[in-house]
Amino acid sequence: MTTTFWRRADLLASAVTPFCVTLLLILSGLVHSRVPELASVAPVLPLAAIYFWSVYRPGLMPYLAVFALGIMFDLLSGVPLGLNAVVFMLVRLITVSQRRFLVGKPFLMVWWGYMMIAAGAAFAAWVLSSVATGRLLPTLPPVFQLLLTVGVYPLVSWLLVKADAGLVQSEA
Amino acid sequence: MRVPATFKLAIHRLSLVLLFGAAFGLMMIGKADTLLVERIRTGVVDAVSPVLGMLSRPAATADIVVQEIRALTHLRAENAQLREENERLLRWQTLARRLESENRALKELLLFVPPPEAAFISARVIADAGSAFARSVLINAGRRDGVTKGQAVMHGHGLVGRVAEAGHRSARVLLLTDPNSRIPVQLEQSRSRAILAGDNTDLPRLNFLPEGVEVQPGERVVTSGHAGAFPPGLPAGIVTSVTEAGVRMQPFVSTARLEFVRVLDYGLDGILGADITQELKATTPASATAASPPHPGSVPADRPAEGTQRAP
Repeated sequence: MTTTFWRRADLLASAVTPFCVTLLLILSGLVHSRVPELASVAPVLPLAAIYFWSVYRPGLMPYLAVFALGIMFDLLSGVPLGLNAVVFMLVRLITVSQRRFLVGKPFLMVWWGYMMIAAGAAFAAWVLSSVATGRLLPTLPPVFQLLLTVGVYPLVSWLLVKADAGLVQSEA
Repeated sequence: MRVPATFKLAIHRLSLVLLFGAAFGLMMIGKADTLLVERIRTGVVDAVSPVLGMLSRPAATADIVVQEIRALTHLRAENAQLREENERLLRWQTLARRLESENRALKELLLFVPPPEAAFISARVIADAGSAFARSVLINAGRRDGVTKGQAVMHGHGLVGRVAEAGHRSARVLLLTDPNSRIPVQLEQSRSRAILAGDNTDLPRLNFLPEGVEVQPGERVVTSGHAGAFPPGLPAGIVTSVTEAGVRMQPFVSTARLEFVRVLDYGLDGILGADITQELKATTPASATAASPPHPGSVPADRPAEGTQRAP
């Protein structure tokens, strides 16, 4: 037995960190900002985390975790239950399938990939909530939300790199 | 023990399909059994509301600092403006006093039964729970403070929305602008009724206005008190545009700067009260078509308002 107790504790901490960080992003995105009309265009912060770990450590962001995070986000933000669970899982599915074009590539390339995927996610969310509400919803808020979601990616990504650096370097 | 790779892949694919199925299934359940989903929602919101309350403090502090600086720069101009406004309001006050005493005298003549007095529950907004597809806020008062589903929520002099879900120590307020918000209202001048319907824009629409009603931009919109939902006469907003496409209203309260709100407790059932459906069954069709009194405010509160039959 080479795995000591501390090694195992390290692995466990590494396994739950992505989930906890994403949850924290969900909560901080909800904080009442008092900036006029921010709530309707506020960036979807957890999307960046799901993308980031799907690219660099898909093993630390399994589908079950993505599903749970999506449900949590739905429950808290008051949108139809299951909507973001579907969107987040789609994001992970597509990101993982495109991993080989993203891993080890310059940041701008990864950012470009994020823009593509976030656009798809925004469209999927718009379609799903229109179906759930029973009529076509305005398209302008999701477009602005998408711009912000893509715009804050460098900042969120910088934070995620910091969080990721603390994790055990083996793929859990 | 080693599991064959193909078997592993199959398990992986199956679990993915199951999870997608579960997510879509939850969307269906959310449509069909709203009560169950609501209970889960309030439970989760209750659990994280202390965290959200704590996180909202630094944001509030930063906001106060910015506002203080802004206020200092505009102090002189604001002072002059307030003086002028004060004078105007004093004139209004005199008028209001006179009308109040006149009103009281007339009511005594009519043996009028006054509507119930409102109790207020003040609460702090702890989260902007909206997204690009929904508009709601979370407040830090719940059932333990007397907040129940369906109550009207005000800020200052204007309607903000209604309580959509009430947890133990938190509640979700559905704003007027949410696509699911429907509130029975009335134009103040013409007394024509309409349904104020949010559609995720800043200017909710007035639906189901009677044919041939002349609506002018600038007319005030107040709650009508129909459907037993809200007390009549709560100011909601001002008509901004009347076009072919419909009539739109600017709410009095901008939801952007909500910090504290007041939840109104009139002892009514609320917009989704269980009693409404029972009353619906109890009332005969004849009374449903009975002419409505000119002022819905004069309907005695202990009797169901005639509007209860119009519950959506």
